[in-house]
Amino acid sequence: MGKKYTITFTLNGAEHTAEIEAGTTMSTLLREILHQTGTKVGCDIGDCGACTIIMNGRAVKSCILPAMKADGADIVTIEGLAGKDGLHPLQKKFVEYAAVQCGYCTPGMILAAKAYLDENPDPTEEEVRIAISGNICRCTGYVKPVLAILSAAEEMRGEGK
Amino acid sequence: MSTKPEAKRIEIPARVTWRKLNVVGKSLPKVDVVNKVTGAAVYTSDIYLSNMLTGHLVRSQHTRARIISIDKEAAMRIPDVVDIITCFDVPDVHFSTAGYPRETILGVCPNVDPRYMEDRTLMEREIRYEGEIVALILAENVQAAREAESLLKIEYEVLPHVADTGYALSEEAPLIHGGTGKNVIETEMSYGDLEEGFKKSTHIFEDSISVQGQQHTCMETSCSIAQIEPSGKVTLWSTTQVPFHIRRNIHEVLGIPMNKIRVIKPAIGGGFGERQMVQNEILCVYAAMRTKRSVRIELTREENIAYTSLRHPADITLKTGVDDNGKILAYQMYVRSCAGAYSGHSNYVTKAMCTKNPYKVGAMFFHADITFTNRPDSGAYRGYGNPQMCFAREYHFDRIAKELGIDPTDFRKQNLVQVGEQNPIALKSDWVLQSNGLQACIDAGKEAIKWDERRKPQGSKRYGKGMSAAMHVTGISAEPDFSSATIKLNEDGTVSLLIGSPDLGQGCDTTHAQICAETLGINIKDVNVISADTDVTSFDGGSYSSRQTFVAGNAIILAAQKVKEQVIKYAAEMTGQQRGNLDTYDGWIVRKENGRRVTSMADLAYFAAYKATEPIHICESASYNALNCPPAFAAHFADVEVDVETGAVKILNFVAAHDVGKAINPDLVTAQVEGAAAQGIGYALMEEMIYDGNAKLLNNSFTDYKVPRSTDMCPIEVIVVEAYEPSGPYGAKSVGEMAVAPVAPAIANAIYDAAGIRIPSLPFTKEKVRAAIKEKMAKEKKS
Repeated sequence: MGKKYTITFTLNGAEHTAEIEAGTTMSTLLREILHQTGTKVGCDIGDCGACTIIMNGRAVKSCILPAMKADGADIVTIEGLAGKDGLHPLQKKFVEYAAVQCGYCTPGMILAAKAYLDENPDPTEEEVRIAISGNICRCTGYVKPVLAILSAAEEMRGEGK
Repeated sequence: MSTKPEAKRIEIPARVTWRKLNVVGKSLPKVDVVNKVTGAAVYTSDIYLSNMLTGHLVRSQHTRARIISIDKEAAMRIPDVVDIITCFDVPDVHFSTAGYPRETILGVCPNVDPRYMEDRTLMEREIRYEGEIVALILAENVQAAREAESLLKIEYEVLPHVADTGYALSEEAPLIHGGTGKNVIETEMSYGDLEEGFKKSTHIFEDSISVQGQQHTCMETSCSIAQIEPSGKVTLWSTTQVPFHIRRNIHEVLGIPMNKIRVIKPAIGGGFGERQMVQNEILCVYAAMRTKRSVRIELTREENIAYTSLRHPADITLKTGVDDNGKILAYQMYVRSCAGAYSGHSNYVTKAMCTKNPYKVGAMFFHADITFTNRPDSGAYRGYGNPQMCFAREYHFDRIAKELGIDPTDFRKQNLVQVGEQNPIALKSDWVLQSNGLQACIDAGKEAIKWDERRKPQGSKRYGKGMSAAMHVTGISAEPDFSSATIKLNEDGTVSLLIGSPDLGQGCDTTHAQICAETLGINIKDVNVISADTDVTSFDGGSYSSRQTFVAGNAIILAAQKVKEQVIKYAAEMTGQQRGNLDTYDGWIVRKENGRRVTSMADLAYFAAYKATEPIHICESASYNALNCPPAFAAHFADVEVDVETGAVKILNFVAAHDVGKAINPDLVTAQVEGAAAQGIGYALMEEMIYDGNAKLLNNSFTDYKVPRSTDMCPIEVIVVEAYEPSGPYGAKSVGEMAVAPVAPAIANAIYDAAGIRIPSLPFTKEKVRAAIKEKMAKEKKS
């Protein structure tokens, strides 16, 4: 076993301290050390986007993110997206639009969409497609997820029902 | 404010009138969806047990070799290495990776040499493909396992290998399975007088096509976790589509009684046929038995792409005789499929290419050479032989129609099999087709794609439209197919539905809950589905052959009817009313004649358990044996742009019209069509397994094996045609696999319409399209 380092970061609003090795990735820290398995791993080389989390407001692929980089960072994972009032609009719309099949890509795709909508609240369909192009989905053909994200954007802008 | 789009639905009048449906036919949210959007759903790969060993697979770097010896002494000295299992340790019991019982295999393929049915052990001493498993290292962590791998001394005798089907069939090719005499299983099917059919034909057409290997690329890689109790009881969590078949295989290979094996399919990150076979489950349980520890075997993405089964590559030649009006009189198919090293699903997949055909063809002859090579196994993949043959046939028929001057839609329509005629799926049965919405699919699709409108060329861009038609099974077709269901009524009026079918994400837990609620006359919120756990649920073959809604759905109806009978019996006692006057609806016991509420299901359930003269826990099971396999139908239409300078093909619009019998949940139907169409678009335009001369896969990552991303996809318009199927639950047939098959030919035919080129092999890469355009231009110049 290699040398352990201590990192401190905010995870879904709560402060965490973890002992890790230099080579530990963020996805391993989340899944195997903190037992937060909502973050998935689909390829482990940053290709598929299943492991997407939000770090300091930006969508990042946690399977290729050294956990050391999270020291001092603000991290949001799928477990932290729903608030006191219930599901986040993106989660609600993924439910309503039947945008989830196997669901393995869903956490990463929702978080990629959230980071993007926080930057661009009123995107075109094409912009949404580009925003989630790093997230492979093998079930849906992206039809319903794209519609769900556009509808969530409307709701987040206050134009929704 | 945008609203959720609803698919266009065309209902073909039902012959049976049901009372107004309350749950079935509604786009209700999936029962597991909230867990999935919050990250709470637990997948196999999310399970970490405290005393769990990592199972690290050691794979052969040789394509074909005999293992002389394995020296594990040095490797075992690595701290944290607990055990190493090699081909010299595993039980000498042969099994079929397809997972089917012997009886099913014999039912489908009566003449197959038994050596091709159960053709492998857990680890073979002869390596038959690059990457075949040679050893399993069990260690406390993956670093130790990797270090041990580097110290494992394996002595191989490298043997000459067979990289492709052409060489496999040649005289000089070595035998992949010694003693079998040849590298091929030949199979034939036929009906009618083919020679006479061709003699009567005024036009005879012949085309040869080839199709490539395609990977499922499920987003969760294959994972098995086995836990063993001191009592000997084994629990296995697996990314499987067939928990009951896995349990039987573990029983047969390892000798554990079935009641000591619990197989659970938790949430699963995709199936698509990849998991309709034995993965590493038996090996995982064997390792747990040896080490008396929990064991996890999880594939990397690279292993999952390279070494799990793939869609069969195939070369197909079709010959068709027609009369002057385009009526098909004779139809002949030759198929050479690449089975890979072990037979697995190859017999059934290749045979299935013959029968999934929606046309009357006069006389038919089918010959297949199911060919062994030193490649990883080809296997089950959504469509199960249909995408290969559908591409060949619809490409071929488009050429026939165009050359005869018949509109391709008319050519299809006039040759369709009709209601009342023999069901084409099972050649030797007396099954009759009872529903067929294909004509409606063609008409609706034609209108939606604006078939008769043409776009003018713009610069280097050419525009064209193409179509295709297809048919698919609803359950396994050549054998009795059965499923069973158990329904328990709890004392508060809610029910627990125990069903063996695994939900792979397609949503059968939800459609099953809807069928249960509808039949029992309750709300869907009052149905809890417990599925795919061999200790708890009733038997089910698994999720394949698009069988869940039809086969398991019918079993649920039968079980729910038995529960309802008990409910009414006790309601009569409770209310003093005649049984014959009572019914159930929307969570209430109601008067049959006017629906007036008599008492709630909750009060009735409480009464039955605690107040009745003979208290009872109402719990009923039923099995359904499918006596027919009603096919589902589809017509696809593509509107494409071809850039004749770059060879780029862009799909501008895609219409998929599907006859599903009845959409139990319309959103889930359109979701299936959209997702399958996306896999079809990948198959048509970008996906291809590429091997080197040693049959080693060159593109084993998402960087190199391209699957469609959001930016690659086009709009897909789904039209749901509901041609009521009398044998289906509420009229339903199937949808899951269907939509992969007709995509590639619709695109191929649109490319021809746009640019005048026919490309007889998939995928239509820019290079291939550009080369075909160049060739066409060169020919035109000459003439």
